[in-house]
Amino acid sequence: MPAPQVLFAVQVLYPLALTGSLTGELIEAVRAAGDWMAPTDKNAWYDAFADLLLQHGPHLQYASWEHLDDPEEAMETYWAWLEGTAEDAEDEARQPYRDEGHYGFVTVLVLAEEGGRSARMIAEHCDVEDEDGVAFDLLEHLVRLLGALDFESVTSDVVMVRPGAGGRGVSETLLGSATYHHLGPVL
Amino acid sequence: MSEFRKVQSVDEPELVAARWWSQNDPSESPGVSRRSALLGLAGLTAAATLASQTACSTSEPAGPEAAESLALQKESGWDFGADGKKLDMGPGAGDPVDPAVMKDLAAKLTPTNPDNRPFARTVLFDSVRQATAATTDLASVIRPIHTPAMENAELAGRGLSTLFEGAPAGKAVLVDLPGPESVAFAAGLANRFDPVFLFDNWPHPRGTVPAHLTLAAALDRLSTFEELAPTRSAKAAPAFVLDSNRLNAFAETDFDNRYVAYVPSADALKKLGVKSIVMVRPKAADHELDDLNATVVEWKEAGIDVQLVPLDSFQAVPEGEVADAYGPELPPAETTATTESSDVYHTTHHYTHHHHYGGYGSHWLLWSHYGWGSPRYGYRPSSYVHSSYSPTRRATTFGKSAKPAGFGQMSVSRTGGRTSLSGSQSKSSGSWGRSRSGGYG
Repeated sequence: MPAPQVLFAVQVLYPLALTGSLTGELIEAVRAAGDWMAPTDKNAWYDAFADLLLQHGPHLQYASWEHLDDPEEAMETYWAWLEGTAEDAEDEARQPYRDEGHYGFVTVLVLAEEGGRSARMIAEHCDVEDEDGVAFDLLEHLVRLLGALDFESVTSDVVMVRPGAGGRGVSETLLGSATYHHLGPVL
Repeated sequence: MSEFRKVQSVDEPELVAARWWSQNDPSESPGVSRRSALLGLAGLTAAATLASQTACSTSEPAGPEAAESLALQKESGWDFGADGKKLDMGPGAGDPVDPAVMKDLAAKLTPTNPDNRPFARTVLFDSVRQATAATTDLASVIRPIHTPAMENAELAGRGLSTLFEGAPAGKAVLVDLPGPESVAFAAGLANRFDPVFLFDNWPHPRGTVPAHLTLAAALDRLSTFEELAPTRSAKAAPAFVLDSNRLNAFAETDFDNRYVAYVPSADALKKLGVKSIVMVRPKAADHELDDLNATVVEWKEAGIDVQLVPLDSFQAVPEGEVADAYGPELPPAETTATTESSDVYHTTHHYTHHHHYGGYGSHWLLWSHYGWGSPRYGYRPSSYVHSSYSPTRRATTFGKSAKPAGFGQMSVSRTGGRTSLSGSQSKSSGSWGRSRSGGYG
């Protein structure tokens, strides 16, 4: 029986045309991350990841974050994010909107032990009022949280970057579809 | 302290992702059916699946895992898993080379133009000076080779080099032939072009890529490269040298030492002053290999002209006719020609013996075929039809500088600190075929 888990997810979208090498650098960071990582390696990796992402602050256009403390819902949503991202990426090859501006995005998922130190940190950081968008200060706060987590009490983490090397990303038209309705503008 | 193990990874043009799981947690999945569905997803091919299976539960016996082949060789020896099989150097291999010479191979074959150096990949040349746990010292078993195919390629390379006399500036060369022939062709170009080798693997007795033959060819041509290096311009344009065997089909009994070519981006080429790439492939009907498709199309879209010159367009000059090699319109200045329009192509070393484009007498026809303008030498009319190649995006399992999961990897078992190849080495294509089954929560 798996231990109860909470989920923390954060997703950030940015226009590829304005963010230069960001996607490439994120890809290289994911590729360079070790097959085996100690908790302290995780902290260092996410610190560097936050630096990389946040330096493009003015161009981080849409974002979404989620904190689920119901263990069953947390696990279901963890798998749903994984599957949904992979499926949408597969759709990219077939999408007809090739002449538009395209967006890249990065998604991070963290499963943490219910009641553990990381779960408590996540709960504290996510204890904010719901808004229509995501204030940049809040986004920075949440992205920086990743490097501060106690990975001794984290069960799984996932980093997904779209597009990969050679892909086109998400078109402007698809951003308007239901798939991306969970996103809000970065304010 | 618990460690995190990467249990899945995806590296596709549309998505790069990695998932880790703490080894503290004894159970990964909320249900086998859900996990099975996930394993059918995009890019989760053999390597990722194997890794996931071993990481799902620490209570299950450790199974095989995927490991980068090169990392395995560095860790356990270049001939790891060879089971006594020896390198086959082929007939006519030369005498052993002084190991001291081999140890300096990477340094001796470094590009002479500092601008070109960042793009060189000398992994293969470095292989002979690695202290590893190998059963045999690689430097002691490599012999130089010189084959008729290499001889032909070198004379063709010389032929192509001569055609850059007075050529418009901004042209670089990319040679993508079987390793030994690429090396030999580059030797033919080396009076005018700065060879930038992109050999990114180590030899192995069961290697899918016969990298040892490429290494052996480099040893054979080393003196030529060293002799010609000081004769070319200090600002010589690059000749990127690749082994077209790098994507060879994997067989079950192979050691997968395949790799993808890392060539410069369009921006990087422009910074080098490159406006046009002359790509050398075996035949006129060829195109770039799959791992280069996305990049070559990017070059084209960025305004860099990419032209394909086939190796077989260069032919030997009939015996006794070398003096009239450039055809009946030979101008008086030809015998003393030493000037070029660009310092980049300057050389103090001129060839008198080389193969000719399109056959005897039509050598300079290449300028007309490829739109280079009017050559300074005449040529005979020829029926030779040039390549109609133009870079076109096509579906491949490779992205720009990305590779399918399982490519260049081996399945290994680690027991009691000992690593061994596992029995099955099946590979998946990394395709994205699956059905849609969910979305965001």
